[in-house]
Amino acid sequence: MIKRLTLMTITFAIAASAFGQGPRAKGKGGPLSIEGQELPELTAFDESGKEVALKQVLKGRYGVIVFGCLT
Amino acid sequence: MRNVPSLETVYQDYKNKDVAFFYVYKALAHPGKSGLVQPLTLDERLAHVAKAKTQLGTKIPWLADSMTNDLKHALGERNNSEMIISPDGKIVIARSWSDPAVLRTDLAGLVGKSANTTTIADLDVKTESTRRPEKVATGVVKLIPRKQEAAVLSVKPIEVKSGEEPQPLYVKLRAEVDSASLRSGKGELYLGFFIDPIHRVHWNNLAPTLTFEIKTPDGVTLSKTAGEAPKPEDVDADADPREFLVDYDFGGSDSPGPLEVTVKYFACDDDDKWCSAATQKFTVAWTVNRDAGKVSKERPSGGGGSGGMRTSGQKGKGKGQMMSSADMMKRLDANADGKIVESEARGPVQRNFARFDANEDGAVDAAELKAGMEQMRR
Repeated sequence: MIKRLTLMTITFAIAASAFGQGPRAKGKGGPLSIEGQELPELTAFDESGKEVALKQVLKGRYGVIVFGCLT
Repeated sequence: MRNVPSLETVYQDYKNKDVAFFYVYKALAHPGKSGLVQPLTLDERLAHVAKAKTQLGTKIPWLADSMTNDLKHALGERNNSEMIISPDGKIVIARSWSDPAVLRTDLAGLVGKSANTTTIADLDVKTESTRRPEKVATGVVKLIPRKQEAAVLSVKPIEVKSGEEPQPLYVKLRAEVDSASLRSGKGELYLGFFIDPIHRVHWNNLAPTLTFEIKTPDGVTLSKTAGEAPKPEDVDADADPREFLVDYDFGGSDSPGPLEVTVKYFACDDDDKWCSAATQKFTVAWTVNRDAGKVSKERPSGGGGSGGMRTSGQKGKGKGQMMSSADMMKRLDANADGKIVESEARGPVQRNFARFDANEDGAVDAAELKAGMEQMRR
């Protein structure tokens, strides 16, 4: 029993530390399978058409990316 | 992107807490909606970005996905997803549908709560109407009913010179078939020529009407290889697509070559500065373009007929061997909430999640699962 409780505590601690501040908030959309993975090396274009490395523009700080289009 | 104003409030409150925000402009989810058509060049995609900025009044900076849609493919294939990346480059949150209220909560947990809570009313959002000029009519040409699940073929422009310069791609070709007919090698091909509003041009109905010619590869036969669009009556200028149906037959070939389509038309710019004749060419390959987007719901939908999708797990499998949608729901719905989110999906449902999730709310409910499985059985 003690062993099981210890294991549960460790599991919870790992999950909480992975997020930083506890479990993720629930949202309208379900989680995508890429969650928890390393951001791949990807290239996009800024508004002027200049090629940018996604990792570089986000480097060293938290980044929020939202996909969208006009339709 | 109905949630833009709410996202902009989160941006206002967290941009000073060293959080970088970006919208990523991706391939159109529903081409045809508001007359918009899929861009074929990076310049055209950047023009969409500029239009999005003015139309939506955004302050969050935009990035444009590459023309090979690398970000979309690598980051979940969803239309309005959002993710948070940690400073060390890890995707800590990836939600299939953007939810600004939850994003705010997530950011508060990660970087600390913002001292401000901006509301939409606080934002000085300046949006801009992008309606076509009144003289350019729409809704004057009867559209051919299409189905949302039609397979869209890969179309590539062939450069045509207009003088010294390449002819701008004022017209875009969309080619669709239904998946079942594509497998059988015999069916109906839809060809839609769309005048692209991003170039601010329209059809000139005072000049000869649009015509097309198709060169076929060896073995492939078409019920017609040339056509002429009917001219809308009493309308000098319009922006409706010119659409055609052609029967095709691969003649038993497993790998038919592409069609070459030449289209000739007369166009004018919306500012009335020029009208001219134009010629464009396209190749149409008999392969499905997964980034083409679904037919806009604004279009009339087709009734009857077949559609559906091909899945690798389905090949050679008889109808009787597939489980019922109710059994599939029981198997995949791990938390028994009556819907399957992407992390619960497995097999064909996982591989084709975006197609199963018809209303794009990030989860497949019982009706969507049933409809998706019925399509797979065809």
